[in-house]
Amino acid sequence: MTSSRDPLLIIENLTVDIPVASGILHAVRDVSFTLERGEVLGIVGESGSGKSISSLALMGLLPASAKRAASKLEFAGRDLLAMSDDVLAREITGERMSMIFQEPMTSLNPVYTIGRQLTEVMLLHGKGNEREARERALYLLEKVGLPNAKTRLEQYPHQLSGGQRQRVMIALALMNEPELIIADEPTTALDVTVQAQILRLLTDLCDEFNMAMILISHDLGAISRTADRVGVMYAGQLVETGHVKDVLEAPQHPYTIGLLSCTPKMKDNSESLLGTIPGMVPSLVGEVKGCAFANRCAERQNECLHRSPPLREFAGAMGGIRRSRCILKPGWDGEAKAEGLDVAERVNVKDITKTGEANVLSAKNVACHFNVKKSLFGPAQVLRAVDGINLDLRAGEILALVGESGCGKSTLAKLLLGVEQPTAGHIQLDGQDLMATASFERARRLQPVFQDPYSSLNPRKTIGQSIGRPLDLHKIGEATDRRREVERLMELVGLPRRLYHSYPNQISGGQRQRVAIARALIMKPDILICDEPTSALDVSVQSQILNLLLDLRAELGLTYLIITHDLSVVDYMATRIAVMYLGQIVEVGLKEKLIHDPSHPYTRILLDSVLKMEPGEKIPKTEIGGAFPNALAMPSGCRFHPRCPLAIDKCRRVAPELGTDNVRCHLSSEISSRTTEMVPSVSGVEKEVPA
Amino acid sequence: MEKRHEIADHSAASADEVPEELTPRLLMKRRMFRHKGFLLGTGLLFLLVLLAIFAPLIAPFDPFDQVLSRRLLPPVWAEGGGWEHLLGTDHLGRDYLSRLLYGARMSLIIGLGAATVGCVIGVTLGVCAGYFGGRIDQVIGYLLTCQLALPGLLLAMSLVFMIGPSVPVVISVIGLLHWTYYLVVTRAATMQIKQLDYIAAARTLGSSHSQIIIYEILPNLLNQIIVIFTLEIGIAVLAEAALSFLGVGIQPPIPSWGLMIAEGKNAMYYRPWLVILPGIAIFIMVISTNLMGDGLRDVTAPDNRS
Amino acid sequence: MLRYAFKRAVLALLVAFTVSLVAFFLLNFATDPAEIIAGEDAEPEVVETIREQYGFNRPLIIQYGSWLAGLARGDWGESYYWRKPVAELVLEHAPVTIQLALMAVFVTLIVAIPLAVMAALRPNSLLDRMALSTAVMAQAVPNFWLGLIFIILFAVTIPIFPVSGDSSFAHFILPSIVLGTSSVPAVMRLTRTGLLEVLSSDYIRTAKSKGYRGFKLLTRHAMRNALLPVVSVLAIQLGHKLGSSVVVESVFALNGLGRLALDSIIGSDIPTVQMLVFVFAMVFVVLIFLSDLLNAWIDPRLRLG
Repeated sequence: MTSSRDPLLIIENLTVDIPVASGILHAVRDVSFTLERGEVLGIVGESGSGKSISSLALMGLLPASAKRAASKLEFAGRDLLAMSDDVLAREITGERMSMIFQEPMTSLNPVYTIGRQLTEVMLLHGKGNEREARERALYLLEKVGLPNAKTRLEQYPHQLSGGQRQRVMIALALMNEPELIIADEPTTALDVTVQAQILRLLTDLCDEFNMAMILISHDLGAISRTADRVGVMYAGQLVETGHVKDVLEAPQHPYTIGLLSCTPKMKDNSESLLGTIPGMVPSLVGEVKGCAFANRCAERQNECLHRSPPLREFAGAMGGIRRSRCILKPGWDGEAKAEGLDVAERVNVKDITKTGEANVLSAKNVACHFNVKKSLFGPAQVLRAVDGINLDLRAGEILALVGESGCGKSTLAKLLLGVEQPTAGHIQLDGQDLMATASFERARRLQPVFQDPYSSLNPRKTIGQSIGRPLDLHKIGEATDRRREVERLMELVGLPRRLYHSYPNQISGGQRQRVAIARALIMKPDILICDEPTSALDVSVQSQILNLLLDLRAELGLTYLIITHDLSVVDYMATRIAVMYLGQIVEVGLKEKLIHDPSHPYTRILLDSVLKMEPGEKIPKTEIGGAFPNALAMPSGCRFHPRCPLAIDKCRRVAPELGTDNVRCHLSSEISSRTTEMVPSVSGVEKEVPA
Repeated sequence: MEKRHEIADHSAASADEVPEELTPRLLMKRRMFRHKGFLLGTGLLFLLVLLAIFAPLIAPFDPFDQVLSRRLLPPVWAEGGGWEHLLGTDHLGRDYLSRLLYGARMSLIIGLGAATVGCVIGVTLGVCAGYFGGRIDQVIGYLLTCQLALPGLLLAMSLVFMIGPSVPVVISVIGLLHWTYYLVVTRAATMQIKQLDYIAAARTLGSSHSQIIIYEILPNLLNQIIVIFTLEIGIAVLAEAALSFLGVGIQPPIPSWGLMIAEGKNAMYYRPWLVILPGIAIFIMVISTNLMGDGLRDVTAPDNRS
Repeated sequence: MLRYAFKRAVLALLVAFTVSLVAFFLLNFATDPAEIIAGEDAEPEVVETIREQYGFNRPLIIQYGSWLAGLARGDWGESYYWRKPVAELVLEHAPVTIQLALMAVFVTLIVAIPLAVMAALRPNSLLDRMALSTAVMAQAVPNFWLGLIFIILFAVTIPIFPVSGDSSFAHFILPSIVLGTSSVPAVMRLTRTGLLEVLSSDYIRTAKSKGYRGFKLLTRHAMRNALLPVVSVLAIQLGHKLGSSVVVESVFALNGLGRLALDSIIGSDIPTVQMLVFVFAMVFVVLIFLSDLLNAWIDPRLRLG
């Protein structure tokens, strides 16, 4: 893959400073790396690590106020430092170096056709005439997997789905056959099934056209499957670089070790607790003293606080040079440490699974249809967000509800919370109709934890006010009692007491999520409904929150319904799993059964799309066809049939029911018999008694 | 999501280390004292309010006193002016400075009154439209279009004149015709806030609609409402001046700046100060509210973003 | 597109209808037309006779119905004050106001748009700050006062433009400058904000990554998007120009619709005032309708969505 010629890209000591209200933000500090032709470099890091800023610096897309400096910045033998912004734009960006952004929904201009936006980049750089540009656009649209390319050229961005738009963005980046593509979180905004396809497409194209790629991601799984080499960024610095296998399998820097231990890995039957990195990223405004990771590092020595750590170079096991920015010498027992974190025992999942027999919350044939009216006079269309759901939540269990965006899982959460009214069917809380229960009564049994910690707290109220609000509202206790109770809960969820009078914008995302959990728990409910509780958080914070939820459950005997799209979180948390597709449950089962022996084709594809961390492994080809369909135009028969690789004629005509095996598929018996042959060890999994 | 927060996250992280210092209010105060436009506007407005309140103490003459022998005296700096009447006298021999001071009272009363009337109508409609959505929103949106289509000044003129020009009528008519700005802004903001998870959390706690609006939504709209209120004072002052100038607003002999310009118009070729001075007064009043409003918007905006 | 246009047209008609209703009821509630026609010192019997004669004793809704029916027939009613058909009055005065409004919008455009574009390209630069502070100041100047200052200046000090009357094109120059500047701040601020918003959007970042910079970026990618809010606000401003021309017409002694309105109000001539309110509202509604169509042509999401 690599050639013997000079590297394509050489970056030495790149720094980016951005003036902000409180001083100067050192967003990128002293970053150096080289990239060979045709090589894929993965850059991982949490938000705020400077990974996006460094790529924007390369493309000349920094905000006007930002200052870029480097001792060397060379691309294909040309000195970018000596180049003016105009020359860079004319000769490099868009032509020899192009970029794919994170937000496919907003990255295309809404008022111009796809065709114009594709062809103009070729015309702008004088790489061909109108006809040639059109031909190239057609060729590339086919290449990136958009059928009917001819009609696509005439369409506008809003007529395409997110996945389709990201494919257009990829085609756009390839128009001038660049030597380097920078992909900044290209799949973060997309669904799991699409994510794998897009990453696969990108790596295949790199191979085919011998392009180099810088793939920026927070997802270690995705990086492990795509990159040749990987760089780990923390607080504006590259703290570790090396071959993907070396870095991910034998990490040297304590941050890399911590990051790996925080990531749920979907390993078979792992019962150990996730690791966490204590504390938070230091402020990069103003002078950064010593090692930026020192305040969170388990290996910290006195020296780390005062002196910047040395950048150590050493040979990697897989060849090439490795670098680690740490005081520790290479070959310290870092690997053993990483293993050592795995020994803690997770709460007794099994015990609770067995006791979980009584249904506390059950949905019976629940449907929620919305009338969507596009205008005052237009005809109403029916949006069947939730369509005939039967689901029981059993005391003490952790039920995970999984599905892609738009499948109706959040609507179901609102129905179960009583915020939204079902249009058919009913929901029972301990056998009583939920809507008939008084709202105050309901509030004491069921509480939510929401996805976005930035919007779940009223910005005008202090932390203490937010947590204590339920007590005020329900007129429980005297003021002093309330205060004491709020402080007790702050301690319970791990919030320092000094934050009582702080406002939400003064605390971090993880702390906000703790506040939201404390507020939910102050009424002493027995059920928590968590809607994507960690999807807006960084992985090190995610593990803290997930572990907190597990601890609280053991301590308070809570029952959880966790709604998520992230299967690794499901695997880590759940005792039972329900899979949702287009408003319906397609499969329900105990975790062990569902993860290792899925019966519904959709469940299988979902599981196949998960990019588990396996450095050097290729991304599997998923067989799913088509895009996530529009809930306003439901397919006939089985709702999954247009995308199902196994669909037979019957699937097109007859809608399957959720059978006694808790699978909504005509072919489920065949599929499970086939897999039982393949995986005989799990064939004895208990059959569930339908509710 | 992730990238958007990249820079913001740092400030959150850094804020956490010193939480006692940086409450939103403190940050806002700090920004306020650094904003020159805001300081200038607020200072001027404060001065005008003081002048208006203490007009009876400051004014050298009774603004209604006519001394026909001392008509059309020029101001002190012009030829023939004297120290007794600093800004001269009008066509009926009334002291111009005293009339201007009392005119400030009139302008402020009408500005505040009309802005309040508009605020009550606009905010109520806006919050209802944004919070309840659906049919209610459509009806209110329709009302808004109708209001925009009405020729405001013309309607105000006819209503004030035909009902009978008095101060309460002028206030109510101007207020009734100036609520659209409140509506548009509060509707959009409420719609946005309504989507946020803390509203859903409040609902699962059993809060009623009115509790949610009062406890969760209105406090978050307050900044924006204050900004519009300030700007609307200026707009109302201008509207009153135009009505009075055309003779269908405040009626003589009450001192109103617009009316004073109309009265001075006949003598403007040889006594231009009669027209220029009240115009400058209006300008100062309106620019001080505009500077204050714009400043408030700048000062509070970063707060809304986070 | 056709469906969109049709829906907009229906809405416009509905608004016009509502506005006429509101204007009719407000004006008729506030006054007793019979007393106005009879004059101030008229005997009660005379007033009663007039009430009978004109049908003012009928319920308001019936009166409104007959007014509307008249409107549909093309009969706009008879002015009490001018003793003339209202339609004739309106047609007589309309050309002056239309010319004034168009010229004023032209003034607004050539001042506001270039300023806004320059300011948005260099936010926080000296030019930007100067443009913004000028806007703040311009917003605080009462336009009738500005008109008078112009008259003092141009009548006495620099007599190059006529300051009173409407007999030639030159007569319109000062009034349209006064009327035009009053909406410069609003249009300039809106264009600037809109352009800044567009320039910080993700698709402009994409365009930059393609290699677009400077003027080309503006014309090929930003202008069309930034135009959307400007089209709407221009329509609204033109509508308001017509409605608020009364002040400027009165200052510069132009005999347009504004002058007619002011005289009719002072003469308590309800049929004329009522019809003027309706005409201005209609014009406004039509302008908004046209700007909606223009926006739909610019933005495919409106056209196809």
